[in-house]
Amino acid sequence: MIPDDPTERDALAGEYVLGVLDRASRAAMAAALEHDSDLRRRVEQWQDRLQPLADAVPPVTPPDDLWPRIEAGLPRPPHDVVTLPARTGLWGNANFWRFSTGGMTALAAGLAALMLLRSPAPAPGYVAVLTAPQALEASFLVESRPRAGLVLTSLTHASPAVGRAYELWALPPGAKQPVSLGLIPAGGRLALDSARIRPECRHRPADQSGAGNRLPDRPADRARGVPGTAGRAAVSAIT
Amino acid sequence: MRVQDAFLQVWHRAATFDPARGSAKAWLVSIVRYRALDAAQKRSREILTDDPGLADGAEDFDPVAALAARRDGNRLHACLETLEERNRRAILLAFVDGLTHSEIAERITTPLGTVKAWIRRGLAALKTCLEA
Repeated sequence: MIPDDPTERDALAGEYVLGVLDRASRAAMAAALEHDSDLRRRVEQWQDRLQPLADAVPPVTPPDDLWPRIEAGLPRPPHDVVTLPARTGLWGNANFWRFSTGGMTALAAGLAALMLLRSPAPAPGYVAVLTAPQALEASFLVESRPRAGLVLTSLTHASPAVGRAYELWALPPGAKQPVSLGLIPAGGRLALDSARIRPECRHRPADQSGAGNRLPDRPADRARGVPGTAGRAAVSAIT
Repeated sequence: MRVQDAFLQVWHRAATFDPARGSAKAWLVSIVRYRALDAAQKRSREILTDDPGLADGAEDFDPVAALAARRDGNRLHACLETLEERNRRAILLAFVDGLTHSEIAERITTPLGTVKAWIRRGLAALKTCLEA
């Protein structure tokens, strides 16, 4: 179905992006794209070429009840993910950050979001989007994988100012101060396996009996109904 | 096509986003667009949306004029202008109206093989122009 000839493959990729293929061909392409990296690259190039056309389509204002419907369909109840108000409270306070980072200066304008690292059984993992206060576009994507740990990816390729670096922080449940999970490398991608995350921040996979999810420093009854670890994460820029 | 379905898919597929392979915007657009195309093809030429709150505003949309008005659309616009009229028209029908090869053939009463050839030639010329 998928041709070998480069010209044919490129034409097919263009037709796929354009949307002219019939259902069977689209499905065949979608299946091939899962494993065919050359074809995937060609499709991505066509997406880039035609992107201005997609951008030129006039925006349509969605109905007011759209977001509640989307929220209702998300795998977690809405109260599981809460965005911190910008520049208010402890997280927006520069003195607090300076105090808590042991001499390093954290910017109050750092990116802050609250995320829950809760692991239900079976755990699908979580995704949190971190958006800077007052920013329109999301800056980082933090993905929590049940067994693999945390993966943070920059969405913007934005670099911190010269002499500064971004750092990922977590606030374990009950903790008064956030703990650092590490500096974010220049490439904007930070992967932390479970072993590198301090136990109190760790995303704990469920064991077979379902009894292994409680926090080690918490009595069992307090963890009832909340398997896994609830915590918060934030990204700040430090010097 | 229900808008929230596309957004939920974005949520579920967030882990597959790789910034090295393109912008987050292009990634979002591709998910929503393919989802819309799938939905449109399932219903075969019926209206694209069942969201009563979404007005069907696409009918007056002139993609060439809209492209020309955008700074980032200059190059694509110029290259589309170099295409043969029938090739350009077929490509725009496909992209803007979300029509497949056979739907375009039916819409403009032209044999399927001819429509396929127009689009293929148009895409090839577009690529050559954009890469020039």
